[in-house]
Amino acid sequence: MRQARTFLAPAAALLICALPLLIQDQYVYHVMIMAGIYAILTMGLNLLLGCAGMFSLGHAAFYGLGAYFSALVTLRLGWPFLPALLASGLFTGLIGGVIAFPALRLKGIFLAIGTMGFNEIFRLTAINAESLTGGPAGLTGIPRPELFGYPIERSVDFYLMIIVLCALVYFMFNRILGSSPGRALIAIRDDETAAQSVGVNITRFKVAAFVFSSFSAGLAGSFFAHYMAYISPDNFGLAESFSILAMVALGGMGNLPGSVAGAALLVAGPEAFRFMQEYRLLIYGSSLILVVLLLPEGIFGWMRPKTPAAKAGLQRTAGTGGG
Amino acid sequence: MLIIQTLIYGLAQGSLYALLAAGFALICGILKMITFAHGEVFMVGAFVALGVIVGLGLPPAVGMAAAMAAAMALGVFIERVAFRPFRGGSSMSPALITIGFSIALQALVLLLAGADTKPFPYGGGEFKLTVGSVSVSGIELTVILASFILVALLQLFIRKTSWGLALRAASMHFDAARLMGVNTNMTVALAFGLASMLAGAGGLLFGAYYGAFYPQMGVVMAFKALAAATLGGITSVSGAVAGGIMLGVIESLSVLFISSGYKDIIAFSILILVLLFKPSGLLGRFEEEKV
Amino acid sequence: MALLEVRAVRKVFGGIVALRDVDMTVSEGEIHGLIGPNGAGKTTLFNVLSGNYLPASGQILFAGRDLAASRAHERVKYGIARTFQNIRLFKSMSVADNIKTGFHGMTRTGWLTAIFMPVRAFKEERLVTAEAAKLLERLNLTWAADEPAVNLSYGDQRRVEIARALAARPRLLLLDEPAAGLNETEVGVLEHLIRGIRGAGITIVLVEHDMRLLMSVADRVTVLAHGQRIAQGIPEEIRLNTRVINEYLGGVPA
Repeated sequence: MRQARTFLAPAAALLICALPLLIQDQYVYHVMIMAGIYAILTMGLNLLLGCAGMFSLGHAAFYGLGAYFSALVTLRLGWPFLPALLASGLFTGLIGGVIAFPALRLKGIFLAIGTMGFNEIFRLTAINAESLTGGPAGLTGIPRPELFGYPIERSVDFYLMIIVLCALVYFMFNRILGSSPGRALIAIRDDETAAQSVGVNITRFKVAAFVFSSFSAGLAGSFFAHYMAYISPDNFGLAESFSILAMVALGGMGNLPGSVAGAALLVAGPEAFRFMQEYRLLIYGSSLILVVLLLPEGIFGWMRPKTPAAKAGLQRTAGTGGG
Repeated sequence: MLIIQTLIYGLAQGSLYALLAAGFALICGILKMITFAHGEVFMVGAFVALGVIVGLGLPPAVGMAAAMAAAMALGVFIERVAFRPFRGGSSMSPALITIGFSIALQALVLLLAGADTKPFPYGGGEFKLTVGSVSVSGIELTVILASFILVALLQLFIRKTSWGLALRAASMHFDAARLMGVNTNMTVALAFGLASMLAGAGGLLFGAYYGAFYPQMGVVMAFKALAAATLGGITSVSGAVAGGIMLGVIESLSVLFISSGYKDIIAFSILILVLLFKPSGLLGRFEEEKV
Repeated sequence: MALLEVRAVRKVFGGIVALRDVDMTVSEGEIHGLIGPNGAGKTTLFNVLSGNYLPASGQILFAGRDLAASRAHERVKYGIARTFQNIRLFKSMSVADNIKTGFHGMTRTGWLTAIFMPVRAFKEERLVTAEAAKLLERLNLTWAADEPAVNLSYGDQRRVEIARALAARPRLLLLDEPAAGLNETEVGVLEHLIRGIRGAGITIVLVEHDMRLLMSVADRVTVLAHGQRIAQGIPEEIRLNTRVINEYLGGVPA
């Protein structure tokens, strides 16, 4: 198993980078780019849900915040892409931190209900605040990115960009989970009282988890906005949060490479076989049920890295309120 | 008189919330967990009823019975798959599985029945009760009365039967009830069965009231009912019912005084405020946190 | 010199006074036993010392500093570590990771350091791994390093928990009924361990129902009953104290 892992990661990386040489189909690129966006979203939710054990169901709202922020600063203020991307991440992270303080008062299912409420409030506000958000029709004509004078227009350019972004976000979470803060998060998930007894400041770590999780969602949102050139409130509803949740569960709670693979599989899987298209949501739903029942560590449980963090399956994730 | 008319709309909408909210409270009261598939139980009940009434041409009362039976079976099945294997353990797994059910059931009904909104063959137009400038349509009256009767029957069941006693015992102290010989597996299944019957009935009433049956009909309803249950007190059936009525009335009043676009924002903002400042709900019992 | 001085600590739960102005003095380097009948307030006092409960009034002077208002996670920094009566290990982690988490207070890697100074974080991680290995070796737990902590025997889990507390390099170690649920051999190992910890210069407060163990290792003993201190002294005095015998030891052969 471990040997398989040693070869698998570089092989996968090589394949991903070499793909532009092999593939000409624009549609394939679109699917891969979407998979990349969802990989970032899934890694972010994984930090909150899988590692820290905080049951947040409002991830799509942070995704949307990043998308709208980036669209507005480029459309209205004429910001270039890169500053807009970074600012969207930071802005969304800041909002995540602000949301975290009240959210910390909620445990388990009440956190889930509260974050769902937040997600709906965000979507409804986007629908109603027409002068700012364009209302139900959304924002159109969001400028395509330009990197150092080089306009990003072709699918292959977007593809390479999302690969870089994914790699950066992966590196960020990998470093966090691979050192003392990551261990502290797992400790909080396992047993808050015991975590306190070794000196973990629970509040600080939970807020930080919220900030980093929403930061990455903001980046994904910004990229999505500039890639699609069009966003509307429907892109960021509860169903979206639930889909990201399914990807986290599929990849395995707390499993960072699993999150990437879970996102890729759920985004690309139904696209790979045309006949599966209309069963897409049925597949999402049933795979969520089956994975939790049959493979509580996710289908990529064996890909679990040997970082100090993240060695738990779903079923052991007690202490998230409820029973 | 506009205000009375508005209150009647609110009451009809609120009694639909109450049917679902009571179910959330039944389940949460015992398991301290929630199901995310309640809206889909509601939706499946509605579609079964529609099939019986339109497809088979049977009277609405039979449709109602079929909706409740189908919803009950589905609810008990969901309990068996999503909750029983995780009893006493993590609350994350049941939540994920019921979210899976929610997504899959919507997709399934979409595939089977199509995405288009289906009308209800019996219009409520014929009958109208008019007092002054206030008028109540037949369907509004039906929704309000049927919900009232169903909730009253549920309360009677909980308070007067030995099964109801088991439900109350299990919701006060699950483990103690088990040690005292209450068959807790049976009791949890019963709670899900009752909750789902109310949801199934609510589905038909909702579809008839708005003349609209569609696969996503349960999503917003269930979430608002959850908000209503939280508002009234998610572990107490009467609190949740009151929360449902309250939410319906608040919504209709905010449509009247503010704007229809903001009524949902107001509902969810209230939800979050209640969660933060009085998590046991406005009418729920207070449970002290153990250290 | 007194390392820990508890002065007139009072704790009230919903109108019931659990601790009624309790005093206790623990000298540097001693093993201090804390006993009393069930409901006497031992666990409450213990949780007040560890910061899990905040007292309604009174002072907790630790090395001259009043910690009464500081939270549990801050007390680790000041040098107080604890174990739990019902063992609380991190269930999803290996034994080694449990110990490494114990070093949390020592580590300086924050979120941003981990990301932007990976080399520094990596060096610290290597240091923590080495220190954890040393600690495991000292407790003869090296064989279990990669085992999931929950797979260990009860006695071994207890020792892992103590090792995790020691990782924080405390000056004062609070042990909450460490012998509970252990068999005779394991209690022997535990006794040896407790003496070893004291030998390393760490002061210990020990709550224990096992009177044989407690009376044999404790240098001094505080006795609580009904939320009040009824006696404090060396084990021989306590054993002969009529009030203590009536209130507590009467039923238990000491």
